[in-house]
Amino acid sequence: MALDEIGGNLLRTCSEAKSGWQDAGGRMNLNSMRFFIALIVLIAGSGCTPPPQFRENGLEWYKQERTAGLKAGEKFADHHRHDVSDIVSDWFGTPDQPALPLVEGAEDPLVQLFDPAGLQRAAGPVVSRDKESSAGLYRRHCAHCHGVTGDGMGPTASFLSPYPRDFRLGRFKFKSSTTGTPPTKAELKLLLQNGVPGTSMPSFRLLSDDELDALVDYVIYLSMRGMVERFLVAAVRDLDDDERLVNLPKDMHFRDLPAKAKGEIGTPVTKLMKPEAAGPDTDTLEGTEGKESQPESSEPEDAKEVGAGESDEAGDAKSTDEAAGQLAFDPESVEEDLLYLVDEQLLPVAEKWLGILDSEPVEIEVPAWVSDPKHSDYAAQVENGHKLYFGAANCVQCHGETGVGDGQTNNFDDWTNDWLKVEGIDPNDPKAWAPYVDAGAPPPRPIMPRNLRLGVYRGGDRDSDLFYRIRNGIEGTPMPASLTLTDEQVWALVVYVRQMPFEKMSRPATAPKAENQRSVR
Amino acid sequence: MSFLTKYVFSSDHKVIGIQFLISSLIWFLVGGLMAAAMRWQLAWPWSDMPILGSWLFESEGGQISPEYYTMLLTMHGTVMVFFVVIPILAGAFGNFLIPLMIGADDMAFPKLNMLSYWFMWPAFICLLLSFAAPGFGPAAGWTSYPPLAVFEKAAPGSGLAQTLWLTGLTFVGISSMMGSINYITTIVQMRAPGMTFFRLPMTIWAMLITAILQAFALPVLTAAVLMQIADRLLGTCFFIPEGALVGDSLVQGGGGQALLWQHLFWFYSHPAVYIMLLPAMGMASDILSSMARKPLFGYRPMVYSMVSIGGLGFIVWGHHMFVSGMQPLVGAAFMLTTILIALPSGIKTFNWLATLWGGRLQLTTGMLFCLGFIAMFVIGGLSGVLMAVAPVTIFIHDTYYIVAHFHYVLFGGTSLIVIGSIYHWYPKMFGRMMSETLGKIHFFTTFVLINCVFFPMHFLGAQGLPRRYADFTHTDSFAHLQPVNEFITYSAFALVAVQVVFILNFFGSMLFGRKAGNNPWNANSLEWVAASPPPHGNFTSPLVVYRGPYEYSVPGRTSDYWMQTDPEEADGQASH
Amino acid sequence: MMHRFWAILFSLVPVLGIGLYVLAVVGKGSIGGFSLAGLWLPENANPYATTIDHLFDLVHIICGVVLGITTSVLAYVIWRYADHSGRKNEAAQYVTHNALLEWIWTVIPAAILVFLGFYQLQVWADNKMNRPLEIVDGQSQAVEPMALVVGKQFGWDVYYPGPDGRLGTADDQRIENDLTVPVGQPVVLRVEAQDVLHSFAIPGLRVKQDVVPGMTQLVWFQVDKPGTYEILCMELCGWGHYKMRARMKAVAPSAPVVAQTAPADSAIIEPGASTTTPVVVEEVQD
Repeated sequence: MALDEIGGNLLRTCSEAKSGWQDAGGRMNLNSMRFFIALIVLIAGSGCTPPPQFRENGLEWYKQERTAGLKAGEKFADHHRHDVSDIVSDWFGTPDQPALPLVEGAEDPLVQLFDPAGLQRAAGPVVSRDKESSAGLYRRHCAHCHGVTGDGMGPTASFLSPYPRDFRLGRFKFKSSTTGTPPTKAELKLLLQNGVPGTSMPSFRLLSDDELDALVDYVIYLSMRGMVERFLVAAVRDLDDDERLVNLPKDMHFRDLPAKAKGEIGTPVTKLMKPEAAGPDTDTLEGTEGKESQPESSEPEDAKEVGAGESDEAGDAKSTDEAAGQLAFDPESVEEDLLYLVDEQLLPVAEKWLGILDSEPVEIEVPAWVSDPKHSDYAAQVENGHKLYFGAANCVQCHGETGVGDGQTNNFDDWTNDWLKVEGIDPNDPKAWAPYVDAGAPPPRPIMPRNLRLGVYRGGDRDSDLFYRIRNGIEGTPMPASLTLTDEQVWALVVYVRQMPFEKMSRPATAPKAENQRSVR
Repeated sequence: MSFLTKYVFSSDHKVIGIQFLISSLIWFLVGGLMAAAMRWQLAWPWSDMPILGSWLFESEGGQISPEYYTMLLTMHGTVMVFFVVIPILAGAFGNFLIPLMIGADDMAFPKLNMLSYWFMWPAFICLLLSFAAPGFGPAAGWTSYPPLAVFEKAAPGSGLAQTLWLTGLTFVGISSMMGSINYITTIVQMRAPGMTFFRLPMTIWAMLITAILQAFALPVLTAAVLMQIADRLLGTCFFIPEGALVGDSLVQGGGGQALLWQHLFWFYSHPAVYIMLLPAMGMASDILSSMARKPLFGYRPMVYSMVSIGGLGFIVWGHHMFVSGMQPLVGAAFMLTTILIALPSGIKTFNWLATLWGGRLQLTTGMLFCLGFIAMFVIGGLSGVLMAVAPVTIFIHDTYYIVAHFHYVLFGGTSLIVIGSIYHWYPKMFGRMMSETLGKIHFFTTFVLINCVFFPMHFLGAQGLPRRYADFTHTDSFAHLQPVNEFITYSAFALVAVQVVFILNFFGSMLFGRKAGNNPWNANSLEWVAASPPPHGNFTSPLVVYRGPYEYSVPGRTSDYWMQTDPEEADGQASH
Repeated sequence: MMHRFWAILFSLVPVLGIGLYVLAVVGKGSIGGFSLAGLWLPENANPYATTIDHLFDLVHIICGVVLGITTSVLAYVIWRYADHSGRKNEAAQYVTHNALLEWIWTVIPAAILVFLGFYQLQVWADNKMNRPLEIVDGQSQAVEPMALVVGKQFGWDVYYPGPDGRLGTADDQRIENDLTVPVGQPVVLRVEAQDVLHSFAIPGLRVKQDVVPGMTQLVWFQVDKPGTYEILCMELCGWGHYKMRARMKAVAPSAPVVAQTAPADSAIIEPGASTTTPVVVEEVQD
């Protein structure tokens, strides 16, 4: 649509309108209707927005630049940024078309971690014809807060307290496993179902199981993508300006390489889907990836096909040579670099998440006295918990003597400390952290110890939830694991916390008279 | 007189009226475009929204965020009520018509009049600034119910944006207050000799009652707004209840009552509903009578019913709060008063029909808009009866039935009259006629499309579809209604688009319209004595009024109209 | 003959206005492939609220008649009295008022409105003032709330009484967005808000009550049809207003209600366990 053409049209109609607006009888000159048409064309032409892209982790770049000791205003070379974003897009695809980095093709263990159809359903633009065929679940339910990239920087994010989770650090708070180990899918799903009370994270209990599973997969996918991106950025730090993550000539982009030369790692999830499952979803996709997903497609250049990993035929090697000849790069050294990156940056992340496939749900036995105030041991255990609270467990330091969370309140969580500590920035000095905020960090806010007397427990209010919060700590926060305590001592603390005076004033124990109760005689 | 004193800082009531008119029409367009954006979201939730989406939400692929939708609905309501309907009725037509219709040379306090317009500007600026505040603007609904509006943590727009909104509202209040004092004084004190109260045109009666309503109800709103500002900035707790838990932090303070705001707000805003309707009824009466070439049927009952609407209007505010948690016994009392207020509106409708019956209807564009108003007002008024029935309100409260109702009254009703009045009084304002052909195209499309947009909303409401939802497909109960929502959206886009015809006609006719004489419609009232457009000071010679404004088709006269200033006497026919 | 065109346009108001309503109520036909069935009130499963539906229909019939008359007159007037070339010699009538007519159209609507006003009072009282009664130890007393529902941004916390049998204590069992009630018994709920205004609404049961932080309200209903109902929020409560919904399951009274926060430990609540005596619903009369 040529804008100047429309503009010219508008001008012309204006001048024509002047010559004859309406005759003496008040009849309208139809020429001026062109105004109208031109306006509509103008509005319709400016309507479309390009599909969203994953946002670059600007904060991590800025942080690594400072870590590398660059002066203010100095940046890493542009080709580094291009390489990282090219590699990450190749491995993980786009928000509309997610991919998985499969080193071993269909045999790759990562395939077991995800349901490809679910991932595809969670990704993409919102489609809401009806419940069964709804797609774009993540952007519909999550992206307002967590952002399309899963960076916790959606449009609503800055107004929320606490901030929405940034998945890219790969840290999750509420789980039964210890720090460093990700939560299981069941735990993530339970969290979606229950929400996180006391935060802006609502309950998604009314979504169907399929939808929740898809969202859990997608969150894990976003988290993996973010972690790999961060690791790649960190890897750049050790390179000189004339070195590259993959050994390519100066003006060559990784994204321009043929699929074969890129190692056939990034595999669009549509290719992993069973044909019948792929059917309805690929309709919603634009572009070529959807077409390629049909197994019978046998175009020669379709080197990305899933099965390709199994064979190392001569033909493939030849085509690589050919491509190399045309594009003047050294495929072997690229392959070597890629292998290195896969080993150093990708596999650790993949292995970390693959660990949850083997983890068995831990059955924890709740002592009888925990939930029974009439139990003979109860009073003694409360007393025990009281001693621990003030003594060995040192809960009092942060949660305060009365448990209202008025102890140490100048801590920050790991998501903030991650960049706050780089240059030892004073969180109270907005000037000091402004560049980080410009780079994409939310303004730092101290993390508040929980008020234990509200009856609101973010990680769930089952006894076992409280047990794990105390036993394993809360990853990413100053709440430490209590490794020195015995199970019984932890339970004693649970009981002690539970019996703290119940002070939720909006629902006091003595119910106020209902407004419409007064009129009942 | 320099350009500035003549057209900008003018104390001439006509210039001020036109200033009000133009600024309100611009806001009308803004509010309408906001409605179009809302409709886009409702028909195709979370899809790529044109213009706004690519401008503000590019990294989300043009998908707006839910608080942006909430902001849109808040600002649409605020703009339409406080910047369009109230100023265009009282500010534009009140200013323009009152001195002309009562035969005065200007308002009683011309400088105050000028101030009342210029106090709208701080309000405009506050609202514009609030779009730039964090959260894109206030998002607590145009009713701004606390605690949502008071707790900064409760909504993205409840910070600075909300404070700006409240400040803006205060300025609107000051402006309206200045206006109403002026109108009351002018109407009581400055009528031409012979212009007794019962010779006043209905427009003037309506403006008088409106001004009285404003003068008595507005202080309550202003006080409430200041209380909310105090709650937000000074740490008072008028509307903050004990022990509210926002997110996970206990709100400090308490002891206030959130319902208090609703009482105070509706104590103003229910009379405000009549402030938004009575002048329209008055202007409709004048246009109908002159264009039917027939006396207004039952002049005195019309006046009395207007007075009783004004009186009853003060004791029905509780019907906005039937399910608010207010004591149900109080609700029962409000239900009875509310039911009664339907009566005077009904009487007015019947009288209009009787006015038309046996007339010689001149189907000008202004008249067609008036007829359209009657039809739309009947629908909106009758659905209002349903709302007065409190048990039914339990079901339809905060559903699209309510949305349908007040759009029928305010858009189908008031706005049609406003547009009709522009067509009718345009010759007096600018000295030229508007194009009738374009006007009729405008009427036909607007009338049809209004019904396409708002009539289906009754059915949505009967299904229980809630208001102010950003996405109906999110629910199980209402997802199947999406085709209706899409139909409404297409109609709404068309409705906004056809207003281009009106804009073209309005500005084009200023330059190219046929020259109008003093009295193009052969109407009786005093404004048609003055030149078109009237000069500063309005009338060249002193006026004496001999009769009421509705002496059309008096038997025994050759002409079918009889101007109020015309001294000749008819045989034995006295005006009433 | 432009006036004929306008008269026909205006005659569409009563024709389509009433016609569409009738089609929607009858629930037959379709427009452009969209079925008109199910455009009227959703099915009501609450016996207390049948009177609400009845009032809804009654007022619509009355209003429909008035709408039909007034807008038909309007269309007729345009058809008959519009000025056109054929009426050159016909002057408008000079009529300023008619006391009899005006009395008629004042008194009749007034009578109808006053009738409506008093007719609805009992329905209002039944739904908002007179809690259902039950017989406990030979005494009739108001049914006690079986659960507490607390609205918050953006969901409904449902609290069932814990082992102590009382609501509002620390041992309450909480579950988010999931309420289970027995079928065929009066159910009273205590509804509250935690942060801002919300409105507890179940369209399928004609229940709606705004909840205000700092205030306590009671709502009551009876579900006669087992199934799942949607609890919605119907008062603007912030950006997530549209997603604030919960599920209400109506189950046979004998089935235990499982408030499940997780498979590991769940609270089992017997609905109606405290009201094993026969339930008598009676309206309180003077």
